[in-house]
Parts: sequence; structure tokens; C-alpha cells
Amino acid sequence: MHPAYVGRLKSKGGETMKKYELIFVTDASLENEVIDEAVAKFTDLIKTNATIVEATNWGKRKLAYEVNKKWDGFYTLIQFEGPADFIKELERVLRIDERVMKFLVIKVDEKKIAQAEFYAQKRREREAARSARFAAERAAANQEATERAAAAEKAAAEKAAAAEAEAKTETPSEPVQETVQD
Amino acid sequence: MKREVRRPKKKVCSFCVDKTLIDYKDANRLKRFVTERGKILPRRITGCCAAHQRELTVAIKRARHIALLPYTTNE
Repeated sequence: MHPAYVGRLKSKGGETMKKYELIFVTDASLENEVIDEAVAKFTDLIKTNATIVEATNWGKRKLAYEVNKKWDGFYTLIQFEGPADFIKELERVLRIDERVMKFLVIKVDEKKIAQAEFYAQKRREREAARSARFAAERAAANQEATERAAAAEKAAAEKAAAAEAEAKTETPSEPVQETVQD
Repeated sequence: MKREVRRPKKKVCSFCVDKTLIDYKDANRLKRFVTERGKILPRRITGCCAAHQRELTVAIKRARHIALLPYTTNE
């Protein structure tokens, strides 16, 4: 689909489900079970109120600055589609939970992603075409080289054969001349 | 005496060329657009077009919010 049409073909009326992205940082100094529990809690909360598109754990990462006297955080990214009212509730729960150090919920700009994907696809195609062309050129050059080598070989063989034939014709010609002289 | 006029080389917006998404999650890429102290570089340095510079600014601010980029450094 061309990026210009993304978002235009949506049905009108009814509850619209928008695509959101939640990224939150759990305190990495906690035990692994506690972190998993916190991640599971929010995954389940989103599951019950919206549909998860993609969920990824980035794992433990160093923070760019100190948060609550800590330098490490466990990052989790969840993309989901849900109603707008749910976001407020989700943010409220996130704010209450003490295991969560930082969080951010943003609306995903589908049009921009589609656009980027569209051009990335185009670029991939272009690159594939270019490499195919290069391969074809290289194959043609190779074939030409082998042909030339074969031709050269053939020419050399012919030359040798001709030389040999000449030598053969020359040797019997001498006695013939002798007979004439006699 | 003729004064020499220095004309900076015309820069092309790198996001317009690549047509890639400016993603706040890609901190390594955003790092190129901040100073060593973490300040956002101006448009005359980054060479971005106005639209992409605006997007870039939002992306950097989001990255700062979730501690992927620093607000400032004291070194």
C-alpha cells in the first residue's frame, strides 16, 4: 500500500482502536523474579484491555542518568492496539507501581512507519536489481574472457597445426626437387 | 582589498535522503545529533530540514525521558 493511503481507509464511526507503544523501565537491582512479575503484570493488564501486537524485552541496560540512585534498568517494549480510554488507566497503574522507574506511552505514527517501510522496500529492490545487474555483468565478462581464451587457444592450435603441416609439406618437397634436378 | 566571502557548503538533510524513520528507541543514531554534553545540535550543524529537525527534537526528548539519552553530563 502506498504510504499516502495509510489511515485514510479506516472505517468511520464506532470505537477506534489506535496503535500505541509502551516502553517502561523496571528497577534492575531487584531480583529477576520480581522483574518478571512486574513485566507479566503489565503484559496481562494490556492483554485484558487491548490486543498486543508485539512485546519485546530489551533486557538490562545502563541508564543514561541516575534514577532513584540507580544506574541500571530493565527495559520492556510493548506495542498494542486499544481504546483511548485505556491509556489513562494504564498510566495510572504504572505510576503507582514502585518497581517501575520510568515509563512512556506514545501513539504510534502508522503513516510514518508505513512510509519508511515503503521506501526501505524500494531501496531493497533497487539494491537487489543493482547487485543482479552487477552479477550479470560479471558473468558476461567471465564468459567473454573464457571465450577469448578458447579462441586464443584455438588460434594457437591452428597455428601449430599449420606450422606442422608446412613442415610436412616442405620435407617431401625437397626430394621431389632433387628428382627434377636429376 | 576584496573581502573573502565564506560560503558554507550546502547540506542536504540526511533523513530526506535516507527516508528512514526517526525513532526515539534508536539511541545510538540519535547520539549523532546531540553534543557531548547532551544538548541538541542546531539545524545549521545537523543540516536537517525543518520538518525533520522538529521530529528529531521530539525523538531526542522522548529518548531522554526514558533514560536512553542523558539530559546533561557533568564531565
